[in-house]
Amino acid sequence: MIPLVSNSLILSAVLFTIGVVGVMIHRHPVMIFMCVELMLNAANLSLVAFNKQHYAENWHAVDGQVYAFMVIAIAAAEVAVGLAIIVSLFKRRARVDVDEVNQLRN
Amino acid sequence: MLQYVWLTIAFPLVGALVNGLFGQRMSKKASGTLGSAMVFLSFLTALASYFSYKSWAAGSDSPYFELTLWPWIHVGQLQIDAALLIDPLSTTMMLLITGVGFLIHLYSTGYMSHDKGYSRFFVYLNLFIAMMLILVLGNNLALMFVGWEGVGLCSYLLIGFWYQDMYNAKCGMKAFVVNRIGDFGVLLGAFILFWNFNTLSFTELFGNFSSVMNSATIESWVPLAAALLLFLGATGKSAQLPLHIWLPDAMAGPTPVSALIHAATMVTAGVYMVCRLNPVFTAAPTAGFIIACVGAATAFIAATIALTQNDIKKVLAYSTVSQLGFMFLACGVGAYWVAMFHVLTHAFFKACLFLGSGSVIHAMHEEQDTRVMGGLAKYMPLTYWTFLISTLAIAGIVPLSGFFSKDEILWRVATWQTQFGSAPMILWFVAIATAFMTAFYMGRVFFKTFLGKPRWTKHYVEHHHHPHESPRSMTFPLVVLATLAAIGGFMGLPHFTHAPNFLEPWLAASTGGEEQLNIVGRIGLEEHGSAAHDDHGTAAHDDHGAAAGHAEDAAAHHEAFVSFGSTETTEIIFALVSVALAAFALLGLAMPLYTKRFGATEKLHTSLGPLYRLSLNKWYIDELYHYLIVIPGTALAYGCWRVFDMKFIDGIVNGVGNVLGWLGHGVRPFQTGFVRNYAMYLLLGAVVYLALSLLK
Repeated sequence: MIPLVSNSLILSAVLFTIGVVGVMIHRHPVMIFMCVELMLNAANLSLVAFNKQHYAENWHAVDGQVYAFMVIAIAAAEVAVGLAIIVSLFKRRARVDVDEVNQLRN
Repeated sequence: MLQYVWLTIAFPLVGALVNGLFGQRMSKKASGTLGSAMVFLSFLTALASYFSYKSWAAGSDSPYFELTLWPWIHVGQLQIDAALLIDPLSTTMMLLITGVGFLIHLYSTGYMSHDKGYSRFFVYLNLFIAMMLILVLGNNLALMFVGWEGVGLCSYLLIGFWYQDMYNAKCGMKAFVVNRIGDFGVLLGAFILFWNFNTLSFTELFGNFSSVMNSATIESWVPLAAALLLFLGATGKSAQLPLHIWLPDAMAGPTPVSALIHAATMVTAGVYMVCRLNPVFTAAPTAGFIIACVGAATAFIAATIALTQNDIKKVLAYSTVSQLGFMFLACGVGAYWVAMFHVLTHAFFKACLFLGSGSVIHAMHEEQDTRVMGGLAKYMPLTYWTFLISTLAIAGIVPLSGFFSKDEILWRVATWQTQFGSAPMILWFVAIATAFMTAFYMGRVFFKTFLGKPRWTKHYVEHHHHPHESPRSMTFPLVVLATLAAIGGFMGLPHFTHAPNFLEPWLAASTGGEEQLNIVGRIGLEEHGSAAHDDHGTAAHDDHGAAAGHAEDAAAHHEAFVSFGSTETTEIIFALVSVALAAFALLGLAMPLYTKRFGATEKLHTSLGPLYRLSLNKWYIDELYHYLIVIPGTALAYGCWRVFDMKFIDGIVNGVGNVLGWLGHGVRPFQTGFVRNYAMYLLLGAVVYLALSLLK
């Protein structure tokens, strides 16, 4: 059983690192957005893995999964807002580059 | 009836309110009549109070009738009521203020008839009467101080009545500022009294005074400090050295104001206060000595200045300062009723003189310079005769009022019982010299104005034809005041006449009762063996009771420094000397100089050179103050502004702003606006946090 948990955590760490690096290096908001999602999913995976480790055989204890669903729900809301911002940015300018959007005004 | 004495204050207050609120919409006649009528009603109330007080006092042990109107300030030990005190002193002042006040109101209806601020004038005047009555009727120092400040305010408002002219406004400010210096003395004096006697009420203070003083829980400097601080207030209000400078400039106000406030009533408030608090002053003989010296010095210096002034009102102003000096001289030597006597007679003749000068100024169309007057006697006979009577009265010619009061002061100075060696003699010589100068300068101003050849300016002759007598509303007060100035002295006839003296026993209840003699007795005990008392054989006090008796004896049998047989002969000779000097100054010096031999005055001026200029320039006291106080004060204020305010205060305020600005400038680069940078910071933060938690 232990290998399953630790393998899940390793995968989670890899996914998170990919997400962080992606956020750092990408300039396109949609790509940054996807990387953020990647990090969220990595976190979800950890939550589920820790639940498995913590409660072992108790199938009725699902705290980690509940947290994961919470994260998914909030991520959905975040996607709605984030995409709306990206769409409105697209409407304003032809090319979208987060480095160009460095001022709140004008 | 005595319960209604507050009406004397209420009437003028109502007059001021109604005129103040509706005066603009009322006709001049209505607002003038209202103002005068209110003061007249106040006078009638005062008169009724006088008679009911007399009948009340006949059946009472205490001379003090207290009327508590309402509780005013009750905080801890401080218990102040809005209470009035009716006694001979306050009744006398009340009658004087409302009586002379009414005459001057009446006069103002004529004098101010062409003025735009007619109703405003009566508002201030009525308010002044009300405040002055609060001052003299208040039964505690706090209420007296309300009146004290109130009359100061009215004085300020009335000096600057024609405020469109900057000069008048400045004169008003000068009066106010100089008075404030004195007022702080009154406050400190009141604090000292409260601190030691636990009360501000006059009746409680007098009731406890001798027992507290005799129990010796009070340190000896207390009455001296209180007396001197209160006297500082008196020098401000009553224009004594060194705070006399405001009164001559107060002549910038309309002439009725000069007569009412700056001659007859307000400026005597200081004398009233000293008389009112006479136990405190009697308990501090050194303070009495200082007051006498200040009074004599003021009388002398002001008289020398009055000798050369050309403005008719300036002469009268310095004359007022000088006469107030006489009053304080009387207070200083402990002759409080004589001081009040001079307050009364001075109010009559000086109000008459001021109103007469107002009449002259009115006739000459706002000309105040006596150099371009002359020969007015035949154009305005009533003004001429009343002015003549008042001039003779102030000069001290028998039997007009000024003679009796001034002579009594001189006599009291000559027979002063004091530990200060030859002080009575020196003070008497200063006073008689002042009296001589008084006769001369009053003669000078009188002859220059009314006799001799007309010296009117060309402009005047072309525009106004000739001067005219004033309307009846102005001459009637003149006649009444001149009559009072003529006969007022019979209130207090000197001892040698053996005629009944009305004023002394009447005022003795307030200014020299048994209470006070006890204190005098105690002082006698303290100074046991002092030189002055040994000389007069009054120092041999064995016990306190005997001391009081001896003090009483001493009061009756003192002798002058020069004696011509009996006390009575000496008194008569002293009186004759002063009358002879006054008559010589008037008829022997002033009359020939200022009527026939006018050219001789120029020669006199050049031959007296520096002395003449010293007098003409008022001893350069204004200049002295300007260089000693005004300029350093301005420099200090400027320095404070440039150094303390601009560098220090502004430095703190600007420094806080600058430091925050630099801080903002320092951290601003972190806020790039690039999302990746923010993500970097997040990451770095997370890594640092993880590293720290792992290392632990």
